[in-house]
Amino acid sequence: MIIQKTEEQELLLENLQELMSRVCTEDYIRTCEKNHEQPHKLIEALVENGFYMLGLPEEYGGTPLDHLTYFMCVEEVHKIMPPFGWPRALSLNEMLRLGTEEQRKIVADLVKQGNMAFSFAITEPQAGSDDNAITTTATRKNGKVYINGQKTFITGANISPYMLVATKDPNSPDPRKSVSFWFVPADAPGVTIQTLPKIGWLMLPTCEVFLDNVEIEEKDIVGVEGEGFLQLMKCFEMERLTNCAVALGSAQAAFEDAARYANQRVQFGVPIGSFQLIQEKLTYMAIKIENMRNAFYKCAWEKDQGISIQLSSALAKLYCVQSGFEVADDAMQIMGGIGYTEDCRISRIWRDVRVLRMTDGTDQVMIHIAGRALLKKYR
Amino acid sequence: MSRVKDVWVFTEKQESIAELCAGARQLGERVTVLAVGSRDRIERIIAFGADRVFYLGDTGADRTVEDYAFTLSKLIEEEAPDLFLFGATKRCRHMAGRLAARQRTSVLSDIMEFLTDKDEIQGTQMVYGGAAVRTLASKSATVFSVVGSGVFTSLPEDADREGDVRAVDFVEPAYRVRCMEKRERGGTSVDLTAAKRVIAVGRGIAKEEDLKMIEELARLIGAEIGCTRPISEGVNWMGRERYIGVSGVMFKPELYIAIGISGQIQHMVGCNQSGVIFAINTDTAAKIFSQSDYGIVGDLYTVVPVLLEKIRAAR
Amino acid sequence: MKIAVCYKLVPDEQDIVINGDHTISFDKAEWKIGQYDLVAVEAAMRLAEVAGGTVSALSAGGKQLENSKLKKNILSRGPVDAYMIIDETMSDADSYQTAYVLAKAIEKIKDVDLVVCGEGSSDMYAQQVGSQIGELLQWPSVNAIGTITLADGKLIAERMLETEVEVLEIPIPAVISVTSDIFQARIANLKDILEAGKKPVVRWDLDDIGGVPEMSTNVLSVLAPPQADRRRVIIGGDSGDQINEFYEHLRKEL
Repeated sequence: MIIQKTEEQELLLENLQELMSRVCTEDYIRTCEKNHEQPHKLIEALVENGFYMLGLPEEYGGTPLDHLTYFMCVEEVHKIMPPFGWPRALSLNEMLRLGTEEQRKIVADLVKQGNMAFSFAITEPQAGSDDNAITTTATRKNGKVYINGQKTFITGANISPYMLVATKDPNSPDPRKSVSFWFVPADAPGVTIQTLPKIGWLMLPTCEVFLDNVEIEEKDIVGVEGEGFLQLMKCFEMERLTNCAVALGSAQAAFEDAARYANQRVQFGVPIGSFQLIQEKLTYMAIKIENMRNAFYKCAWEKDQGISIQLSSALAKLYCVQSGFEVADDAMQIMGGIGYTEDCRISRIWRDVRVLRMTDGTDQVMIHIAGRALLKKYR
Repeated sequence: MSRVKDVWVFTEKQESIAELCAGARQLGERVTVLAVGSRDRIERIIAFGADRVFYLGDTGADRTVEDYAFTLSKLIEEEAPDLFLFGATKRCRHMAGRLAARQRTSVLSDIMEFLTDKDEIQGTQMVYGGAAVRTLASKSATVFSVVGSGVFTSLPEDADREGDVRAVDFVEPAYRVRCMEKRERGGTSVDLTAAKRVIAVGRGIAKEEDLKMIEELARLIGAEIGCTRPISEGVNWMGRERYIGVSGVMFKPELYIAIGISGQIQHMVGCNQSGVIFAINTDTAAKIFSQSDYGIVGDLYTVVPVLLEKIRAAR
Repeated sequence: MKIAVCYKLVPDEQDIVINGDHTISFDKAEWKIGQYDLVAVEAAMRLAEVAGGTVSALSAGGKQLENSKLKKNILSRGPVDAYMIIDETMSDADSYQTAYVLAKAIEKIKDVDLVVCGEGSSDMYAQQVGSQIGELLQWPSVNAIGTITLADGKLIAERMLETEVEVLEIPIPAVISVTSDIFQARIANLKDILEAGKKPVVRWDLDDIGGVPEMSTNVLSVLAPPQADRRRVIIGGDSGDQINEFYEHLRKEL
């Protein structure tokens, strides 16, 4: 593994950086956050300049690329931006692989224009980490399918025209083969969506979804009935890397702000950076960032080499999101009171990075996955 | 002893003719102005300090200023002036480049200071976005130079001055560009270089609406408003004519108030000749402070409203 | 229509180091494509996209032109190919030398209908090369072009002067220099970048184009500008009293 960016990667990232700096002023970010709205101007610019569809097949208007470069782009965007629903290439690719021709077309057309085509409706009040405990059902009656249940923490449900709803067949003998996914229009009769106010990720709504006798067709199944989770396993591994990229980009931004501030802020007649307690913080922050980058790039590189990342992605995710939060937290400590004000982007990073320790598998679930896989290796 | 005898001047604006004539008088022995336009201007040109006026003729529907390039070129070949000064406008710059190319030489651009006491003509100019000052000596028989704006100060107009006037025959251009229409440039046509007091804003201003507060301050103290490049070309809150910096306005007002400007060199070269500089910035380490006379480390949204109140109260 | 767009590689002024003796050093500088030249490329591309035709990038300079990332960078902005005249003499060339070499190259490329230059180079910003190329080729030239279209084989362009706008009809072949805000330089995407590596680059040395004239200027010195002596009275906060102190200083100047 060579840890040097290629000229192409450097150029791509420089162009992305330029695009970000043109659109995402701190004021723009603040306005989107304050209004709890999607950064439409940025999304438009990403679409227009061929970044939105990175990682998607050419026949859908995308530009395929290796995972490492892809995740470098995700990192670059999140040096500036909080999560706003991009990238989605990984889950979209799975959808495009599993979906019917009609479903693919709908999704591709929506995404091409910068829409979040569908939300993932898996989690339920009683089924978070234990996602096998879902109770939403799909029942057949008179040639139609009826969905009933309640979903929660559904990212972007109210801004996506469709939902990918996980249902469970309570009568299935094999619990591993009891989950199915359905392609449900978000405006179908019987669907009620409510947003959940939260402290961070203000540009990306999180919703509760109530499904009351929502009528769909047999053809709305996605992939093979009963094989829902097996089909999407790979996708979950990749989402872990997205979390790594967001954590890394955010941590890098927080670190840079804090380091500059330490040079500027004068207390007791000297810049606070001259105090060893501050230097210690900066040093450990830098080590963490370096380790995050190494673990995460290596994981992406392994994926490109066809090496299994089942274990390494769990390790990388756990390390990156924890360290990312620690770096943001220390950055805030260096900034002092100013770091806690809304004027300072570290306060935003701090609250936005925190939730990465819950999304796409909590720290504890990562340990659960990694722990078992590690023991298995030495059995 | 200077070898400079004949200095020629070509520029568009009346006030710039006066400045360049004054400069030409300093640098050489005989000042010749090449005049295009109405004949009525000639007497004033002499009053500004010209010893000679070569009157080229007027522009019209079928003749642009640019069409005189061939006429000028022929004159240069016949008369071989030592130094040819051009005003710092787009049109003059273009003319200087064309004429210099025809004499197989470069133009000394945006010269801030001339040295003519050596046996060659030297000039200094800003390069690398204001990070350096370069001193150049021209090796050519006729030295072409675009003079930075505000480098020379006009002499008082002297109506009793006498000078020669020579009408010059038009040389039909070998190639030309036709001007189909002319119109005033839209938007404000502010000339910052003429302002005595200037308030400049930078990225510290969060929203376009907030400029109202700055406009109010400017109105109260009789200042013009300028800005940094990101404000005029990044977010387009102000026209390009208000952009102060290396590729924009470079000037020396008496009072300069920098609000929410970090003080990057590319901006500061435009204003660092100002009489007195005030700065308002939240960042203690902002470069602007080391280049200011008075600075306040504070939020402009706190400071400016208080200043407004105080200035209103003092009236 | 065949368009040649000129660009210059310049050291990033952010990386300039000022030495103790006020001389400046570029030893640590990254090289980049002049910012105004990227705008010129965009203007050339837009015109070619609308009016039909191809755009070739053209530059003269020192060994930095060999840098493969910079080659990919310029070609990722749209031109189909690039022509480069590489010689160390050219890294310090004055504007007449640059214009001379570029004009010779344009003749050698053959059949160029339009040459597009940026407003000025990002380093020297003399804003002369476009005007001079025109004269050397004996083609009409105009600077400060803010809009361009092609109609009946002629360019219709708006020239943005200080207080007026001229609408011009420019016969081709011609040389134009465009304003820095005629367009925003495009963002290259992955496809553009990958394709850029495959585009042809023609490399000439000075002999190929018949040499270069002597410099018409001598550079005597390049020094960091002297800092104006300022009072530097800095008030460290924005409490009521502190703003009042600031106001008192300001009041004396009003």
